[in-house]
Amino acid sequence: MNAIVEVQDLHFSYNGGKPIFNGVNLSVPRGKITTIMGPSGTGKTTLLRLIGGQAEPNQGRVIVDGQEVKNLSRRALYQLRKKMGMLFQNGALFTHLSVFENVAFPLREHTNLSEEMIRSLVLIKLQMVGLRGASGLMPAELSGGMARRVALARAIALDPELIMYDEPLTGQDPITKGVLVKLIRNLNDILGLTSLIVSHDVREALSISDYVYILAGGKMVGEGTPEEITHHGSPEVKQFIEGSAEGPMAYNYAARPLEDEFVGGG
Amino acid sequence: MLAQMDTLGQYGLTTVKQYGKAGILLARALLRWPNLPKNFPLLVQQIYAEGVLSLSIIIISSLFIGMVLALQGYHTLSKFGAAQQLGPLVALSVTRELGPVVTAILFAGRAGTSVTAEIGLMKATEQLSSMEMMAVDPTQRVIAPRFWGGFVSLPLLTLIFNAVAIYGAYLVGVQWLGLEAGTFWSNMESSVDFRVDVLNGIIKAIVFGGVVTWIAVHQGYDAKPTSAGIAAATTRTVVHSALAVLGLDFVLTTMMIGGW
Repeated sequence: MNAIVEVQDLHFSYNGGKPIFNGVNLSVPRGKITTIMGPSGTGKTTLLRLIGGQAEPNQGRVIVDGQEVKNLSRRALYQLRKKMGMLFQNGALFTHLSVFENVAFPLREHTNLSEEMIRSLVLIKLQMVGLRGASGLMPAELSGGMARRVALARAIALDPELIMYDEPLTGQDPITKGVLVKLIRNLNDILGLTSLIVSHDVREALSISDYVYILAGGKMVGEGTPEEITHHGSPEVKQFIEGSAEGPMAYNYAARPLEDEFVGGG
Repeated sequence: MLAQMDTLGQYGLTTVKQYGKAGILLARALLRWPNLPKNFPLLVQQIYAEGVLSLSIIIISSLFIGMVLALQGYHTLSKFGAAQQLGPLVALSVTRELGPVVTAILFAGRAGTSVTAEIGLMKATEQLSSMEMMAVDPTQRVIAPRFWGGFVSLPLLTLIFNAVAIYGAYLVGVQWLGLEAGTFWSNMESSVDFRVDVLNGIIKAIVFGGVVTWIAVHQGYDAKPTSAGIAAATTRTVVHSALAVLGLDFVLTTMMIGGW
């Protein structure tokens, strides 16, 4: 099987509210870095939650590693999740545990390894993200970039096949961005992972991805290699890549006409 | 009229839904064979956080409650020349009612709120989500130990409350107001029955322990993941716990009464 994640004709809304997805199709090939880009609020994070089985599609299928996520029993879903790592937007480190214990957490929960073995594994993972020296710190003592790298070490602790990044670069300084981009690429190639990134940092995302999807208005409005995306013909993709307020995607929130608001005595 | 009925119906539905959610949460947390070597240390941690750290407020409050009870009781009783009945008065009101009820309400304020706020914040910072994505069930890892911690702690705290409150009454009644120690203790001993009074009080405490911690973990787990949401959830923990404890106390007392 070539694709580790396959999403077909996905429809979704939270509790019957405003629809978030209207027929999304997506395929994430093994061993590659695939990026989903799109304006904020288009449900990129929701898509990751659907893939991880934390939400259920209203219609359509989400298939991970050959299994349809919706049909899995709780036990099977948890087995599947052991093969996935997820990096949350702010790291989501356990605040009451040290850096070392955070990375050791999945190992302690899912394996019966000796303390010595856990120590070695944790230090290896921390070394990969360049934070072996920080193992004794508490999450509150870390900078945002460091916290994300610790979370990354924790996400790869069980050697997953798929790792999902939720806005890994947002709010980081240029150096940290550069470090993270390199790290994502290296981990993908060295560990033989498959990476799925959700991002709206156009330049960085295009620079590391093998394949890019652009999500807007509940649909994929464009897809292709970074090269193809840069020269894409569709006005939505163009607007997003160039970052202009004018275009098919409305920048202003829907409102009454200006005259009514100020003159019409409203 | 129709709109009012609509609102009433909506309110009813939301309430029933809340009970359902809370029930499912509790079932998921408890109806599974626990992994003892892994969960026992977590339980001990929670007994420390919820029980041991509540000791100071329980001991100080119970001492004062016992003292004021003795002071009030002594003056009223002596009007009828029955001051020697002070021991039974204090011991019965404390073991039957004040002990379990006041301990549960103090416990809700001290430990329940911190459980709610902690779980709510873990939710808001995506720690619960990330745990789920690591294939660890937060109801097992986070909810269950906190529930059991409170369930075990509250009856023990109640026993301590009872003992300290009676000692406080002894300080005022005997040491200060000059009641004879022998009368105080022997009258108490002859009128307090272990099964009817002390044990029934403990049964109340066990029920309150379950209810208060259940409310606390549910409010945390169900909190809106914003700062206002967590604040509201913490408030609800105290309000709902206090109402539930006082209401249940009445129900339990009516069921236990007999031979008093």
